[in-house]
Amino acid sequence: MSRSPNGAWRIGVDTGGTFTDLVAVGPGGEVRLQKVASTPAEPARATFDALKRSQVDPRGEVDSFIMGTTIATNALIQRRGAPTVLITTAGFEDVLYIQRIDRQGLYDLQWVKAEPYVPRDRVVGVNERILADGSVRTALTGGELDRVVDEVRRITAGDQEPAVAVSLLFSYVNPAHEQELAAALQEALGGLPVSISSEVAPIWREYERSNTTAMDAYVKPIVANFAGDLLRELDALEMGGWHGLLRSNGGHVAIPDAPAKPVEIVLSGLAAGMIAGAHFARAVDSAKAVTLDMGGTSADVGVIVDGELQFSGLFEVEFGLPLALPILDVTTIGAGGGSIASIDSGGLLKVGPESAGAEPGPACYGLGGESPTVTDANVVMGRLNPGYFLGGRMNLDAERARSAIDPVADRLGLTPEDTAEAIVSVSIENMDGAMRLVTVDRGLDYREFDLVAYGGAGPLHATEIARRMGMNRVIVPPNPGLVSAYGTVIADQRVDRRITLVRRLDHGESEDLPGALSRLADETVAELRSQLRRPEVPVDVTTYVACRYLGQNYEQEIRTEFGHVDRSFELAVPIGPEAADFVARLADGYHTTHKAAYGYEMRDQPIQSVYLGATALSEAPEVLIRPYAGRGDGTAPVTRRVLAAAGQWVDALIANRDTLEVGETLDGPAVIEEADSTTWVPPGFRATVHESQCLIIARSDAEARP
Amino acid sequence: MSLRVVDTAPTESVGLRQRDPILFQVLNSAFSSIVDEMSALTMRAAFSLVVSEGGDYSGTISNRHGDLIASGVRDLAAHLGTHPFTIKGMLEWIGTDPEEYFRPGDVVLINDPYIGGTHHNDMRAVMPFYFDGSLAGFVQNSMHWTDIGGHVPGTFDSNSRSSYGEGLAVPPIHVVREGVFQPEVSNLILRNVRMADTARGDLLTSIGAVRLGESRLQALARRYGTEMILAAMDEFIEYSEDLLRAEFAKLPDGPVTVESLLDCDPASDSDEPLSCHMLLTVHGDRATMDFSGSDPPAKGAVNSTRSVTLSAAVVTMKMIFPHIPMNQGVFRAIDFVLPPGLLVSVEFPAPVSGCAAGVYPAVCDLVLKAFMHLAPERSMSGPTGLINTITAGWDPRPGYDREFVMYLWLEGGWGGRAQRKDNATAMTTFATTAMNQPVELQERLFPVLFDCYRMETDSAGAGWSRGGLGVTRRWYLTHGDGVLSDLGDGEKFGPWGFAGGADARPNKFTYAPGTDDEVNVGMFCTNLPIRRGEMLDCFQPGGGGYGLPLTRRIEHVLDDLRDGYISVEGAQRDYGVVATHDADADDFILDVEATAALRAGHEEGPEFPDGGSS
Repeated sequence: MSRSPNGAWRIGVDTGGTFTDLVAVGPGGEVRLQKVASTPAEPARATFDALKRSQVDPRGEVDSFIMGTTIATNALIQRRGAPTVLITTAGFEDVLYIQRIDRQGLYDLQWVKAEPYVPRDRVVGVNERILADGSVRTALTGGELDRVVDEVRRITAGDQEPAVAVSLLFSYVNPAHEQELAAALQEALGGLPVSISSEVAPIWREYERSNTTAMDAYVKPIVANFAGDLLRELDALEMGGWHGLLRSNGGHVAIPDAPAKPVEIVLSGLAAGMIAGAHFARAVDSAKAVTLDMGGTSADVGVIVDGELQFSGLFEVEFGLPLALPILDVTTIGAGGGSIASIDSGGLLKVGPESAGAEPGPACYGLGGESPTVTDANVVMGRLNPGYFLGGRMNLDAERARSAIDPVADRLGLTPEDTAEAIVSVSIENMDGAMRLVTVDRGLDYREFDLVAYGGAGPLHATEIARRMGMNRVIVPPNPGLVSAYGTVIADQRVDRRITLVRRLDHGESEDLPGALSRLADETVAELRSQLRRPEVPVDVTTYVACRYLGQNYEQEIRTEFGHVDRSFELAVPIGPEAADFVARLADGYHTTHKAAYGYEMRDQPIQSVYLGATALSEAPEVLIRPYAGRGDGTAPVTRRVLAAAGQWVDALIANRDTLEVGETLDGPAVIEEADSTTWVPPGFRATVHESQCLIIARSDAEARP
Repeated sequence: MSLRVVDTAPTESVGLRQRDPILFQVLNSAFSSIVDEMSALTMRAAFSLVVSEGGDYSGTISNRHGDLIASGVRDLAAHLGTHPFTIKGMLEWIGTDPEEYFRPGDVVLINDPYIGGTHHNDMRAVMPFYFDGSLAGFVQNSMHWTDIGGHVPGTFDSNSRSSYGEGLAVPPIHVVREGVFQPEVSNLILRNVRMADTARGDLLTSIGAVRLGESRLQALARRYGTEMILAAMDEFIEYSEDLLRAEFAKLPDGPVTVESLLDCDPASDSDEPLSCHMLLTVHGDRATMDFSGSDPPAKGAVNSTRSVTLSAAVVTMKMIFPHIPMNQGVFRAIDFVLPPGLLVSVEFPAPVSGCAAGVYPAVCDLVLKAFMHLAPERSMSGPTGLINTITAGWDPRPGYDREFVMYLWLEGGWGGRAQRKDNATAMTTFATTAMNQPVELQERLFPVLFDCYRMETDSAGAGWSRGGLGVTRRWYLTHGDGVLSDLGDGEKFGPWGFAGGADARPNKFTYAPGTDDEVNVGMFCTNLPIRRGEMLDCFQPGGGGYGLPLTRRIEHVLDDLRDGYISVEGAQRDYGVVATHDADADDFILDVEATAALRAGHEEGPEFPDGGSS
């Protein structure tokens, strides 16, 4: 059933820390998959290496080439960005250094504060002041502009590829001063990249906005160079089609446009995995799901409600350094296959957050790692097949795994096998706790959710996590280890826009709210249309209003009913009595949502809008990753001794996923192996192959939903 | 081996910790996660800026005796150490069978400082949880209300001589009875406070939070069985006590005497400082904290109740040994000597509204200071003190038109450390995870304008490892006149340095600086009339230094010059480093000879040890 538009190739690439994955979907549904070692120093090289190996002809029919990249993420994490200057309102030069003054560890006296991206001697205060209502209290004079330009010229003299961030108080209400500064810098120091906060992140809270803007400037030169390299290579290959990068919000940006607002691609790589996770949740009709992308060092957790990925206004690159943009809501936990087990001073077992990483890796890799990891534990428990790791391309050393675990077992007074079980249990408990918080933080009850598990290590642990949390079903997509690359192929085109509009819903002042929302929707659709490679495709727009009770400090987004755009791109703008009716329905929606989330509502309390948002979406054509033929070869099932729980060895059925047919069921205990991942089905659970090729795992006594 | 009489469950003889250490760990995390869920709800739904943005709230779970079982990762440390005393105090106060008083579905409010509380502004909601028809424990949520009545907006009144001037006292009272909200109770409370809408939202949020916690505990009990949960609750406490005793055993035996001084008694004519005194004696795996050498109570509001003093001691111990789970075991591992009727253990009706700026941080300092002697790598030099400030008046802006109360507390520097690089600007230690309030939120919510918000050059205590810098905020009223009150400490004594490290510059709060109307607001000001447009200038100190400043590595002194953390004069005066600014090179040039002369007899100290937690 898979197809590709115009019969052309759609190529998706995910460049991860360890592997670079490629998924190409061609004419007639042909799918090519590649996994090659990443080349962090020159990210483009592994990409084009994978492309070459896939044998897709770039000069042939190519519809699109889309990448998920960690280039901006890594520049931020490894501090390899541009020498950056921050221009801010005089008197508030320390905004990046004072930060929000909280700490990750409540009781940690030995804490070291996160270093801002701009050194303190590269901050320039400018005499100007805008007030909360947008009025100008201190005008920005021509003389002051000249002075600031001179300061920036002095500071950046001798810098290699510098960049400038401008973030002034209340610029989210009135951006005039920021714009004047940008224009003056452009004129005097043309070519110097400038990021202004009213464009990068027009939100309130001066620290979050300033830091986001500083990050944008910080990665601008690196992203510009990366985009330049990619475009040159693509030109040299004469590759056709549309060339884009995945953005943190799950949408796309054309490669040449990426350097204009590079902070938008910081979560490009993570977004790819989550998009695919949501795709597979929809494929099995799961309206509410948590996605778990678990690799070697960390696990990324996302939330899907009503079949949609959730968005967050904040992501922290490291504690205290937030990125405040509408981005896919993802939480990263330091729990992966490489997480190291140890005994704490109280004699209790502890797993992670330290990780053996890819090098030296778990002890069983035989690459010099000696610390016991979660992967080693799974080998000792018989859940991982040492002879079929990465489809047999890498052999795991079960003896090394065992010897690494022995010292921990001695300390606990348990057998190595039970210790292995304990390591996996604690690791699962860590994820369990984090996943609870991820859902509850958002006012969601995880017990109503399915768990979509992928990444190399996700399917191995997912069912135990779901069981512990009382979640519904576990969904394991096909090729769990390539899911992120797949995400880049199937990502929808989308544009998100947000404006601040503070209005009381019980006042006449809210009259202009519906109109503003309509205009925002219009603009969002127009922006998406300008990016579309096939203008005839339909565009959907959804709108929402973030509200709170007057006096409250956090808001909740209320989806608004009106505003769906038909193909002719016209909106009904409610006016007069209709507008009042709209506002009344909005208020009602807020009361109800608040009560559901926080246990109470205040019907007599005024409600205030905080911001309006619109998302325009053009769905990507459907693609199936792997049209299984169902190669059941009739051989007798193989079994292996597997530790199902402490002291409880069972004979587990071992199945090769490639041989499973749609509709087939496997009762646990069972281990389902495939080239890039392994799925563990505990006793009492049953795995069913769904027509989407996903495995659906549920309690054997539960009615398996189709 | 004899046969055992099987009249008790055999599993009882071996603790869960030995029998199933994994499940023990799982349950311990599960309890903390429940409190974290309550925190998440509180922060997002609360109305007070100081709660939702500032984080002045906490949550806990206690057993049926009030012993602390679990806290979360985001709670305000100053509150949570008092939670067990609140429950224990209530149990004593009600004087009836707890199962008659606390029915399933009840929520009881309390803010009484003398029943295990802090000050009146911290309102607590307490909800019992029942397993199998028996009272099993309590869930508690505490929040700082911006105003709890009284004649001073914001309620802080340094001139109050007794509890009666410190706003509305709420002894235990049911706001929800068996699931039914009692509007008359909330009406009575809300009628007595300013910004009642805000208080109402906060009150409902508290109720929402404890109900969430209670329902999560029921789910946990259904899953693991009530017997298992109750046994685990006891064992969490034993576990923490064992861990802390094991740490005491590693310390050298013997007494350490430490003292912290408060500026003065705000209600007395005397300018004499007040002493908080502690004798810490370690003997084997036991430690005794004896506070009986402390001064008698002050007439003014800097006193603290017993619960506040013990909270400060225990919470700071937890900071010294952060790996130990926070529960009643930490209290039990320490023997406290704390006679009633002292500055650190006042009884009703002595005034206490300023305890968070007075005795509380002073007791935190006692523990930090004692451990600078015993295990310096675990502690730090003196952190910033506190000023609570309240700017209040009428807000005539369109859409507001109401009385407003802006409660602001600043951040400052933490102290230098024996094995870490310089400390940074942060919230006070006892406020820990609290956050600052963004200027863009305050100016929208209140008719004020901030003139600056910056770190103050040369304000940190100098040292081999220096303290973090102090912070200045300046603001004024934009739409009309108003009043100012504050309650602080540390105008006389800046945060202390250690091992040769210098003290940091003390607190300073000035009205209309540089004008004819200039007033030193000081630390104890009540309803000072302030005029629209006149500047308020509040400086909160940096942290004390660690180690001799003359041994600070010269490269770090030059870095601080470049970053503007110190001035050229400060480098010479405090660190013996002579440098001049070279405009052409845009850098500081070291005068090697002059520096060597000033530093004669002092070797440069070692580089800061690299990362890693102690």
